[in-house]
Formats: sequence, C-alpha cells, structure tokens
Amino acid sequence: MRVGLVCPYTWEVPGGVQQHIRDLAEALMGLGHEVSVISPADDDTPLPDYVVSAGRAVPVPYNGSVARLAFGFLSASRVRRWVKEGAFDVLHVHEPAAPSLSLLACWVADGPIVATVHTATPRSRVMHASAPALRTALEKVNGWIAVSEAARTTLVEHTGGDAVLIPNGVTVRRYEKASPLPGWPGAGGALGFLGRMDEPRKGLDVLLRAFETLGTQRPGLRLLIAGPGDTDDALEKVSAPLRERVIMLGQVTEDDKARAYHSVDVFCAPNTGGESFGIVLAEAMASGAPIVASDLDAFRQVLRGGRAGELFETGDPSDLARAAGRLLDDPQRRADLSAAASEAVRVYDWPVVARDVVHVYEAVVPATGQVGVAR
Amino acid sequence: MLIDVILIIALAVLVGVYVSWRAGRLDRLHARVDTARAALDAALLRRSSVALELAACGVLDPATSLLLAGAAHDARAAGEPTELAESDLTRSLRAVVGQPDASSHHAGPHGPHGAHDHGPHGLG
Repeated sequence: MRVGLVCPYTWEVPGGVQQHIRDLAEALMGLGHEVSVISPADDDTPLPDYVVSAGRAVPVPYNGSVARLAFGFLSASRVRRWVKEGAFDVLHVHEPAAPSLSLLACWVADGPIVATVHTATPRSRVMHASAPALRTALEKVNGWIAVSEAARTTLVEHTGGDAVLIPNGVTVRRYEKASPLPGWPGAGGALGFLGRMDEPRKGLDVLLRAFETLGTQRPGLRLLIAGPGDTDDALEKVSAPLRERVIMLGQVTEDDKARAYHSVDVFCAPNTGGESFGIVLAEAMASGAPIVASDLDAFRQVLRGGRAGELFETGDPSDLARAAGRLLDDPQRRADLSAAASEAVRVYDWPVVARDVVHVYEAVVPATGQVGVAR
Repeated sequence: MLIDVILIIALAVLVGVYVSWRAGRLDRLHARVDTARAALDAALLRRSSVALELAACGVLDPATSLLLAGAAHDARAAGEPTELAESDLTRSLRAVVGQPDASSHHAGPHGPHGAHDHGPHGLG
C-alpha cells in the first residue's frame, strides 16, 4: 500500500507526535508498505529519505503558548503537490485539529483519509468560532484513530464520531539491547526513575520518600533519575546523608535513555495518576527492566495484572519501599519479571501496532481509487 | 498670638487649595487614562472582529482561519492587561499576512468545500 503520512510539527523538534510518525513510518516500511511523510522542517536539517519538507514552520501564538505551525497558501500548495505526485492509496494525517499541515492536507485532498488524534483538549470556544472551516476539512476523514481513551473522548465530543483506540507503540529493538552506563548498577543495587521531575503526577516525591527508608536500610543503594526538571529542587527533598547516592542525569538522549533502563536493578513508575498508557513503562519493559509500578488501571493492564511487574499501592511510599526492597533481595524474582516484561511488551511493539493501523487503512480504502487533490 | 492663628489659617487654606488643585488634576488624568483605555479596548475589539470575519469568510485556508479565530478569541477573552492580548493578536496577524503568496493566491489552491459553506455564523 502507498501511504502518505502528514506531520503537523517541525520534524527535528523532539516531540511525541513526531516520534510516533517516525516510528509508524519505519514500522510500515518494515511491513513492506511504501511510505512518504510530509512535515515542516528547517531548511538545513538533513531529513530521512522518506520525509518531504513542507518548508519552515512559523512561530505563532496558539492555545496560550507560541507554537511552530505550517499554514497559509504556500504550505497548502506544497501539500497539494505532494498529494498529487504521491498517488497514495491512503492519506494518514496526525493531529488534524491543529492549525497546521494535517488540516491543510484534509482540505486539499480527496479520497481515503485516516486521522490520528494524539492529545486530549477540552472543547474550546475557539473550535466553535472557526467550526465551519474546521468541520468541512475534518468531514473528509473516513477513519479516526485515537492514541488514548482521553484523546478518544475529545474526538467524540468534538465531532460526534467514534475512533479506533490504538495506543502508542514502542520500538522494542531500540531498547532491547543497550550497555549499562559506566559503573551501574553497582554492587549496592540501584533504583531508577524516568520522567519530568517537577510534574507531581509522575510521582517522584513518592519515590524519594521511599528512598529515605530504603537508602537508610541499604548503605550501598543508589537512585538514578533521568528527565527534565530542576535537579536542586528534587535533591532538597532528600535528606543530606543520602543525597550523594541520588544521581540526576537530567534530560537524556534516546540512546542514553535505553542505557539508563539497563543501568538499574529495579525501575520504578510511581505515577499518582493521569497516565493513560505509560510509554515510559513500555520502554522499561522493552529494556527488560524489573518494574515496580503504581497500581493504576492503565499500569495494571500493561503489566498484566502484576505478572510483568510488581504493583504497589498508588501514592504510598512505604508500600513502594517494601515492594522494591523485596525485589532487590530476590535476583530470581527480578529475572522472572524481566522475562515476563519482555514478553508482555511484544503487543506494544511498533510492527504489531502498525498492523492494527493497517487494518484501519484497509477498512477505509475502497476497492478502487487513490487519494487525489480536491478539484 | 493672633498673628499665629492667621498664619496657620492662611497656611491651611493654601495647603487646601494646593491639594484640591492636585486632586482635580489627578481626576482629569484619571479620566484621560480611562478614555485612552476605552479607545484601546475598542481598537482591540475592532481588530479582533476583523480577524474573526477574515477567519470566517472562507477565502483563507482552514489552518490560517483557525489561527486567526483563536487569536481573535483570545484577544476578546483577555482580562485587564491587554498589552499581551494586543501583541499576541498582532503577532498572529503579522504571521498570517506575512505568509508568502497570501495576497496573490486568495483565489488559489482551495478545495471545493474550503471556499464555500462558511456563513457569518462563525462570528461572535
């Protein structure tokens, strides 16, 4: 199948949507489909050969912050040309309600269109004000995909239509094999955390309080923290004698992230809520890390009710300390959990997820006809 | 003694006159600030109305329309410190107008639905 993917945000800027599209494109090509991606991109960035640049995105105030978006007739005519020359069997736009390339693609194209909604946004009056322009473009979408239940709810509220729920995938082979960071996990054992430090729902506070107990009991135990946020703020919450055993990596590269997962004996996901799927959890599972996670519905489901990772009472540091301590003392249990996690994550592997996406394509592609440009 | 009293009264009168003169001046300045602010509000409202109308009239592509409508809405919903709302609206308008070919292509590449169908119901 010839698939045209439309990315609304600048390709080289790190972001969930961009990563999703890159992984999906590569997974689709791995399944033998032909893929072309159009995306805003800066002039001087090298792009993978399956990506076509739609020119630079323009910074403009949007939704309370400044976003870089591609809009206007020049962008529209570039998308139009790409659609025309691509002769796609299906056009797959991402985040089509954002005022950028995806919306333009819906506008200029005719034919089988699939759209994926990534973020959940409350119904706004802006949607009302420009409803006609948006609605006529979005009415052309034949099949909707939502990456989370929340995104799906947004879609149902906005358009009244329903969507197939296909969660984000994880590229397992990217995490499967990586060498631990030098000196890790170390003889005294190591706990790990990955996520924004200053976002309360990620639950770093719960972990730090559990570490007070665990670190005092185990003189060699260290805690590895990766993710953006104020390191001093976080360190202040740790009592002085333990501070030197809390190591902050800050924001890490894709490669170092994989290495970080391999650097710890127990990976902790102490989130207190709001996580619809937990891509971090899936990455940790793909890395084969033994996991201790909050007993949230989403996590319990991903961890197969506790068989692919220990669950603890959400928000309870002493229960986390107990669960993590038990795992640190039991190498056999850790090996079992690691194997179970590697096995359980297979269903979230991108090639598998991409197959579900292809099913949606097949459902909207009629026996004949390609994507063309609107008259 | 009497001189003292007269002096004090004279001083009090002088101070009184001075204070009431300052107060009157302050009041006039206040009125001028209010008028200026009302004029600014009216200008912002007018600009946002035009932006909304432009967004709804259907000659622009939907992404630009959506951006304009959003900017206009934010400008109207903005509370007291309107400078931010003004400069945001300005930035949005400039980004839209500054797009290459925006002026020469308004009859250009649009789909069959793009140019029609939007009535004035997007306003307000």
